[in-house]
Amino acid sequence: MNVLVLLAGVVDPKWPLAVAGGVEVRAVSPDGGLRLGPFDESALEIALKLRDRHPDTRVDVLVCGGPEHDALARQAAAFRPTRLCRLDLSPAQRWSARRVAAALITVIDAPGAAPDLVLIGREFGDSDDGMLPPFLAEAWGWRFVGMVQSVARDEDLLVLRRERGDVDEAIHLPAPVLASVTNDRSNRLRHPLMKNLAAAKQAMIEVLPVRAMEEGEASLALVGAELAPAAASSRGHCRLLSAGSAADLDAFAQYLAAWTQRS
Amino acid sequence: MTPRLPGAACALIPIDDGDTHDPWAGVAFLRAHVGRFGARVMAIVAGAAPDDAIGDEALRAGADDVWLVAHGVVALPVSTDVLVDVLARAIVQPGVVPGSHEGGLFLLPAGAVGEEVAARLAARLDGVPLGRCLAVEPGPQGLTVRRAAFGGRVHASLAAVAGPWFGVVRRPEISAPAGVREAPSVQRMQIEVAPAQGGFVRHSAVERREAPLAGARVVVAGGRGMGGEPGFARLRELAQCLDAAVGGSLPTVDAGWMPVTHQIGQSGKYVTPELYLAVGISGTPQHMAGLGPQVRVAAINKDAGAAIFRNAEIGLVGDWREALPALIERLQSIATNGRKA
Repeated sequence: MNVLVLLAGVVDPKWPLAVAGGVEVRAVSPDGGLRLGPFDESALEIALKLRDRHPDTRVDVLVCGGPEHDALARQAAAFRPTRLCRLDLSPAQRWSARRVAAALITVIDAPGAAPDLVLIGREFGDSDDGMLPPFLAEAWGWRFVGMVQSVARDEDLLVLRRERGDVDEAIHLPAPVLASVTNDRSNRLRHPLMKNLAAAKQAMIEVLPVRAMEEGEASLALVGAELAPAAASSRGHCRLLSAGSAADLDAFAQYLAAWTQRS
Repeated sequence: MTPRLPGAACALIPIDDGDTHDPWAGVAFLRAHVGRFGARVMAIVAGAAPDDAIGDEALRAGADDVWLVAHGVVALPVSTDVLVDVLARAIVQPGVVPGSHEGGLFLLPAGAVGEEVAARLAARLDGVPLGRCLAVEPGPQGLTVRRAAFGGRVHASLAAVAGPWFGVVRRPEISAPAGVREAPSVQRMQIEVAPAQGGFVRHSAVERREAPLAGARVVVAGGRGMGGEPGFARLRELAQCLDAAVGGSLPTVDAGWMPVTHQIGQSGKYVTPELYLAVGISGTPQHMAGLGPQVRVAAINKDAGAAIFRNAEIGLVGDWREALPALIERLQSIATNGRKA
């Protein structure tokens, strides 16, 4: 089975952000501040677990972004994918789901290594809030399962598991399937072996070019950005109490108790 | 300059979906953002058998024209394949969307189901997925959409020239009055769904330890600072005193202390209780993005400089290991004295 893991990276939340020219968002960090996001990590771990259980599983990794994403690609290289690529999507292109789908289809349709399972984080990078993965699946004519927490193989079917309301779902589907992955205790990314970390620094990253967008081609284009406004004025002006003071504990308890007494 | 209004302003409602807690959010959003220009607001309600009461509810929510679409599939949880199939066919049905759907704006309620259905409809109908919209502004050349990005730390403005457009929304903070509407209508259609091809789904009912977050008047949430399951056990005791639901931040789900269905934040649930008590939570923008703007916040954290206190109206600085037992004892005493009075 061929598994393709799509990775986007996110700006590490520890770095502040700045907006240049009213449009370009940058991390205030010495090296761009990118790291694998929590959902990237979950997707990668699910692929690795499949390979652990089924040694005939091929795991390819595709990082979507420009040269600033090479460091991310090397992090993924430490897990020894069969093929490691970077799809040279610009930040502007990543806002347009149609553009991303069109660029990725060349990889999906590649002869000889077409994936049976594509794993992608439920939010793909800093410019997506969850709609890109199902859009990709539908655009390609693939089955889609969202919010997946684990994947197993059952003969010729894939078994994708997720929690949904009051039930746990085990969805049995034939390939190909695109699954968006959410974080779960079972898919926390392992630490790579030290020897693989060292080897990853020399890893070859195959860069797949992407045609520049023509004017007006983007279905959705970033035209402005600003740092999110501070919390609403109804919050803040916090009355700070100390847990070391009996009187303060009484006051805090009274505050909480008042909520149980409201109708 | 006169804005060019979308050809249709339409809320799509998966009425049987138990995880969609505010099905009329799209109607309220369209009334506030597009209805103010005089555009009529449509609602297409898809369900096994939506009845007249649902139609009335849609009108009360602010829709001018309602289509009740019955697909007859009663199995729950509702299948998103069924919803996408039914809504796509309803949208393109002649006579449903005025003019053509190609210039229409279609919004679903925010949540995992809404996001998936909106995105898949966009692909199926050659449309544009807008994401989770904070605001939509019609302009002379299409729409400008504002949405959160970079984990909620940035608000991005995106231009979308050609439709149809598909997005998800939450109920706006300020609702527009429905006003006097001309000739509201409720119509019905039936769409038969073809049986699923290939594969099957097995459901196992799980006894969830946690009460649902949706609709809870008080939510108590724990963060990484809780340290593990024993911390959450204490938190549940406190929650019981307050008749509260329990949630957790993303790291607590990663650690296996809370289920993903109770994760609160930008990438988790969006909650709107009256009171939110955050314990051992630092208060990152990603977490705070999961709280409604009117929510009152209280916090317990051993770091007096934690960001959560900038979002709270009252805070207790200290280690939860000492604070929670002390508070539980006090709350139980207050309750007992209250019963004796």
